[in-house]
Amino acid sequence: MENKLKKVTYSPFAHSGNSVNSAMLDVIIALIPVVFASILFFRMGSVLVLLTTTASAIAFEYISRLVLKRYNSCQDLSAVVTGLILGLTLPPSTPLILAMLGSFISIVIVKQLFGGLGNNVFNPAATGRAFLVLAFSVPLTKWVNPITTTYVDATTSATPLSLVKTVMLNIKSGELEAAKNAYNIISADAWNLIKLLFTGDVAGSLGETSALAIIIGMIYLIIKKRIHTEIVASYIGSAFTVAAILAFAYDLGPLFPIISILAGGLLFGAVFMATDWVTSPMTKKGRIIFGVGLGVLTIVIRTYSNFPEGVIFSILIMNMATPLIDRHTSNKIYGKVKVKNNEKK
Amino acid sequence: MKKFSFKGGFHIHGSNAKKALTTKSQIIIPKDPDYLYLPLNQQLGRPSIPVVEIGDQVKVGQLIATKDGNFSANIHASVSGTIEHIDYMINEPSGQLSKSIVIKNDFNNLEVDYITRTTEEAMKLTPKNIVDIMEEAGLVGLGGATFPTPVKYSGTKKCNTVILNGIECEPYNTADYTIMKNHCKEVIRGLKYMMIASGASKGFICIEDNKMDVYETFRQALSGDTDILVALFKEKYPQGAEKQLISALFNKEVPYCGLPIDIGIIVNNVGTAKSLCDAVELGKPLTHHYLTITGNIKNPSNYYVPIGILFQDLLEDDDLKRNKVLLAGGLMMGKAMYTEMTPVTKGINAIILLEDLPQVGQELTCVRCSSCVDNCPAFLSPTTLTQLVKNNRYDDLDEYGIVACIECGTCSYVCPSHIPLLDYIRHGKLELRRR
Repeated sequence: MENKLKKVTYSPFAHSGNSVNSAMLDVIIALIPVVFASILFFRMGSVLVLLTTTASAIAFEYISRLVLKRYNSCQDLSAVVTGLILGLTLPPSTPLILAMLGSFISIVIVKQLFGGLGNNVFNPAATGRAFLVLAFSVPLTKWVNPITTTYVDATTSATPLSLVKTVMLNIKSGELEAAKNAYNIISADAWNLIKLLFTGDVAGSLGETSALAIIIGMIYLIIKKRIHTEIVASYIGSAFTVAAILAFAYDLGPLFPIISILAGGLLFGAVFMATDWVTSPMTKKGRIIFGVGLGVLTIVIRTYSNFPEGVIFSILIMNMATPLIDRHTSNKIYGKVKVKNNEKK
Repeated sequence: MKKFSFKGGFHIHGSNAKKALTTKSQIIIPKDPDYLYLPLNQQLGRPSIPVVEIGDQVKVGQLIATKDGNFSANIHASVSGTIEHIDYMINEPSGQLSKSIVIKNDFNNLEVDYITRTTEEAMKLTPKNIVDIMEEAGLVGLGGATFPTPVKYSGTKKCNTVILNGIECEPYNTADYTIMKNHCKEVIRGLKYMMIASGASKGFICIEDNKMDVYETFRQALSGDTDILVALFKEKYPQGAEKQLISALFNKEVPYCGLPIDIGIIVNNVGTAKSLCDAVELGKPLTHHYLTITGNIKNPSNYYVPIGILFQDLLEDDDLKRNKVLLAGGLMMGKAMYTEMTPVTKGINAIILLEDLPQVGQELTCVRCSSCVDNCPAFLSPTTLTQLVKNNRYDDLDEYGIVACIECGTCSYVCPSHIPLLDYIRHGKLELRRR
């Protein structure tokens, strides 16, 4: 008799087949061109750093879940994504022990102690990187030129971003002439620089140098609907606008905003870190505010702080603002007329 | 050609293939069963009151239970025979043990004398006449909600538009499609009677773009008509929900906790229109309706069945043995039955047999991917509601708009963390109502 009864549950009786696992797999696939480019330009440096961060991220995930007596979450691949992204934000010459420490901060402190994937307040990889750059700023700002480099400034291995920073510093201290001179160094060979920035043949962090590889990954993620286009668009758009305003105000020429976008980790951050599901707002309106905040903060930090790079810090700051944004940008519920706060009760 | 659509929702993967199982099939009229089980609470609202006694002889179309107050409906016998039991003895599809009238079929098919009218006579009826006919015939919304139809038309609010819903966005169902394909004229006349009853000047027939053949048929049938328009909709789930239909068509929203009539609109299913046409012209009460039987079975098809027939009499033993899941209604919004000893009621428009429940993984933490928020057709935040329910904050649910939820299942369908969001929301609604 028993086996004649049918199975019951509540509707719906179908599922899209979408899963966290497949989403993470898509992010990993999107990272392949970036990883490939970094290996192409930095060879062993890249391989070692990426292997260390990824392997240690998986190990830390496994151990921390074991210690915290939770189910093993390694198969959701989020640790691999965190490890890869963290590795790609580090310079190729990062000491491996520091890379491992970054993984520890990312996985154990930021993610697992907050309750695992979904409960973390900050982007794990961004926090790991921020910790490293604040605690060990010397090894973390030692740049290595790509093996294949042809860029003029090869001897000092200055990153294009540090050249931009020189301009910014002069703007900050009010020495407009110096700023212009510094900019002239960049703009003398600007198209060549843009071309190199696009292909990635410059000094910088592992993953952030090649705009082309990042864009390929971005297109894949957008087609697969794994990232929210509005974050990427509003982030890059607002950063471009602010840089253009700066360029206009200080007469720096039209290529300055383009170089600002391509130099440094802005593109990589916009595509792979700002779009992190867990730490970005949930409504369209909220995501646009989030992206605009990121863009403005990035350029402001680049210009007016002592750090050359503002992407990581702007992401962390906007991560903090996410619950606040969520609270005030909820969708208008179908048919409901919005009640003003003071009219309630 | 303009295609209407609403914000939110999604395309169900493979829904056309699922519909294709039954779109081409013939309409099957099943063998009359020996016994018929008619639950008394087939409609939304109060259960009907039996007016027959055990041992009474009844004919097809005879009133056997009368409505209890306004928000209820009459029930008629769908076969001729003897009343055997009136008792709590069978589960109706909502899962409750319901008082039912059991008729033993005598296979004589004696019919009561129906009052017939020609179309010309019918067109001269007053609104009051038509509402009376609806009440008499026990009409309820055949889209699945079983809202008593006369209630929609007897309100005091003024109505200016009647919308016929022929969207049928559930992936397997094709019963409405069958009605529209085979009874185009009746559906249109039914809509005209609805417009007379409501005093509306405009009528719309809404069809999704996966039923282009029906759309063309209606376009041709209505080519000279200026009052009734055929609207084409983009295929998307849940386009068939009445509130989403209205916002797609008119870009207007039905007020929170309100009904479409609050903005002067009445929405009815095409099946209801066809039944109304039968009731007005042939005098026939609602005793039979169309039903899709499909899924993982040998002969998926559309059936024209008497209300009260058991699922068991419609399904083959082989198919029942092979499949572990029996759905009444639809894949997205239907209900799972634990036994085939369940009668077909007015609200059931499909029976689906599935091999097994969908293999959904373990429920994980919400990763805030916001697919539920982006796809929710009521613009809610299902994951926030779920958090509130999990934390027992039932009193805050109303502020987050839980009443606007139409239980379409979009959130549970798209969730990558496999959270049964809709189950939590239903639980929250229940708790909220209890307080």
